[in-house]
Amino acid sequence: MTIQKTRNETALTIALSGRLDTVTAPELEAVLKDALADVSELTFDFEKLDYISSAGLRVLLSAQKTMNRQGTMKVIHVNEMILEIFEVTGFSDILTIE
Amino acid sequence: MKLLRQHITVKSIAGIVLLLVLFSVIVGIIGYRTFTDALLNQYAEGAFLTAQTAAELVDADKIDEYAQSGGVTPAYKAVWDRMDHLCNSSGSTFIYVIVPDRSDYRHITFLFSTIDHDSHYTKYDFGFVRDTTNDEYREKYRALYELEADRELVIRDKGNIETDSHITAMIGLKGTDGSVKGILCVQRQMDILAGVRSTFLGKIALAVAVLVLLVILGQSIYLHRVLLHPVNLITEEAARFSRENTASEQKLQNTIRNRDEIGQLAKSVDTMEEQIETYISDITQITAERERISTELSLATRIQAAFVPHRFPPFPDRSEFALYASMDPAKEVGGDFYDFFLIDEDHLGLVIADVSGKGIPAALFMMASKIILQSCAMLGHGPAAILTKTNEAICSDNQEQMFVTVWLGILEISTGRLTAANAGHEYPVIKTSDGDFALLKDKHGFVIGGMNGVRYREYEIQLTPGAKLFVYTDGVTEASNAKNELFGTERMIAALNGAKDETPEGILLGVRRAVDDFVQDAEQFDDLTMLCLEYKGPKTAVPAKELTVDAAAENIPAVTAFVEAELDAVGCPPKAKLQLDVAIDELMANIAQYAYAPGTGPVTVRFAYEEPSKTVTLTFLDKGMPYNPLEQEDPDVHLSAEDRPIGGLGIFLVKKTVDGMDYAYKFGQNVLTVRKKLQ
Repeated sequence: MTIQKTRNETALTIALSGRLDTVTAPELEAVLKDALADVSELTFDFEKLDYISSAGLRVLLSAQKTMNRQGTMKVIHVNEMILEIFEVTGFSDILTIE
Repeated sequence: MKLLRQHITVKSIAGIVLLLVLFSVIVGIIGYRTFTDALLNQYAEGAFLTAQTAAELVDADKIDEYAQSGGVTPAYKAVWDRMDHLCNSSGSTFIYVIVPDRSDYRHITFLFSTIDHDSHYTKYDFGFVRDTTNDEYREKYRALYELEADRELVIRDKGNIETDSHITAMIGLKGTDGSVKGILCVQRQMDILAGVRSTFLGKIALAVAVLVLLVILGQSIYLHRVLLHPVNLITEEAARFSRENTASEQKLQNTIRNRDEIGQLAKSVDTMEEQIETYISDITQITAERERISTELSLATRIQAAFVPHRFPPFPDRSEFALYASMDPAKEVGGDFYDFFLIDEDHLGLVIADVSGKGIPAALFMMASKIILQSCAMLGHGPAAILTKTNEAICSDNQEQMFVTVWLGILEISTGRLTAANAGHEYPVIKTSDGDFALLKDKHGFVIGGMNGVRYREYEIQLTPGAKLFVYTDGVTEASNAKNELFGTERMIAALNGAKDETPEGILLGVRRAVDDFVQDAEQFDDLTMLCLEYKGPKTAVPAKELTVDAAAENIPAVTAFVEAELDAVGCPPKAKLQLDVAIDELMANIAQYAYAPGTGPVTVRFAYEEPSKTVTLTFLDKGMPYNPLEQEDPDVHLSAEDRPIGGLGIFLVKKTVDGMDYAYKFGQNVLTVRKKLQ
């Protein structure tokens, strides 16, 4: 998995490619831990993400909880497979998906 | 009811009145007879006395002289005067002396004839000849003359009040030579007799009438008091009892003190009420008891059902064979059972058995038999040895003389070699790979529990991939319809062949349906137990489709790569592949995290693909602590972000994306199976 960060003042866009799973989720978690400090607008670009597992969902949920306190968060370019997982797990009600 | 009571009274009184009248008539007749006889006697004696006196007036030796006198000589006149005087002073109607015509007594000649002056008769003149009145008189005359009778009597009793009723007393007038010279007759009227008699009859009739009235009155009162009133009381009490079902505190025998059958009836009704009340309370108790037993019985049913393996497929990780079995007891609990168990990784034990009898005793015996069979099998003996040992164990303490028929087979999974032995059980049915189901007439040993020291023989059959085995109990072949026809082996084999290409479950369903269609509404008489095994053949290329790694998160990509390669080989669509990747990720992460915590250990992942159903089966085996992830509760997916716990979604996600998941703990391993259909 590769993580690409684009910073524009207080807006942060994180583009993921590959798989967000048990092995890679800790990497994303580590990145977010450092990067979210003064972010008010967080965007996840899933255009190149193949799939997400429950470990990835954990990280997303934890990021959403953080952003609920300091700004907004959205997920864009979600593929069909991941959308299905979001729907099954109820994440589609929690996340802002565009 | 009222009509009936009147009926009893009327009948009873009518009977008595009839008897009374009959009795009165008999008494009347007897009285009448006795009375008449006595009176006649008296009349007769009186008449004879007068006749005796009159006879002394007439000198018999002078009869001829009187006859010549023409009734005018002084001697004749003197006799006549005295006779006339006697007639009027003795109450006689008529005193006369006659000489009958001796040739045939048909004519009589009057010598003397005097009458009662007050009567309406007129006397016969001297020498008057007339015909003898009738034969009776003639015979009497003859008797006096020829049979030396002293006296004779003629009674002319018309039985009514007419004054014609009279008696005539006759005395022969004998001369000094002893011969009869003439007959002196005295006639007396019996008018008094007639009068007295009618009074007598009138009195009897009156007495009878009065008696009848008295009897009717008395009997009515008596019947009412002794019969109807008590019967009414008993009837009312019986009606009350049937309404309320409680024995009366006021006993009938205290009210009805008759010492007769009615009293006895009252006592009996009292006793009956008490007994019925006791009986009702007994029944209530028995019903409660029965309820309890029924509850326990349904519990027993559940225990028994749970006691035989009942999760299907039983060995989801074993692709070499498929197995299905069913058990439908005729009663709540039955004596049939099936059983199957892995003796080791390569040997599958199969049992079908039928305990003699039904119900709880059979079920208890079945439990014992099943445990002993399986324990013996687990020791690694062959089928014959298992049956022999089981027989010894059961015979050693089988006081109830119960027995069980058993077919026991052991399948060597890797070769398809089935070793079996039969202890008096039905023939198994075998289907070869591309043939039909057919009975295998194997050698039967004696039933288990029947006799000590029985030896069993075992035989071997080679199952080729696609072969099927069907074993059953007699409940299948002996299922009978309303016409009492048996389902029979032929229908069973036809049903099997009708479903021969189905899975074992489908085959059992087919047989069951055939039995149901046949039996229709008739009651299920015997337990219905069946087991079907399909041998699919040994595993091929096992090493290539199995990967063992250390249970650690960093090994997940290796597993994923192994499975993906296999999926690519079978042409898996990308979406299914990603979904299976998620499953691998979640399940491996789970095992890595918990199975050997805090240490680590091996995890084996097996890949299997079944072409006809396009189903991928992934099996995860670890030797860690037993843990069934399927028992984990599903998370609530409707909570808000703030309320949702971090984590707990993994297994849920897998459940949602695959087509089937099973868990078992076997041979010291957690065996988790995931099935996914590739569309």
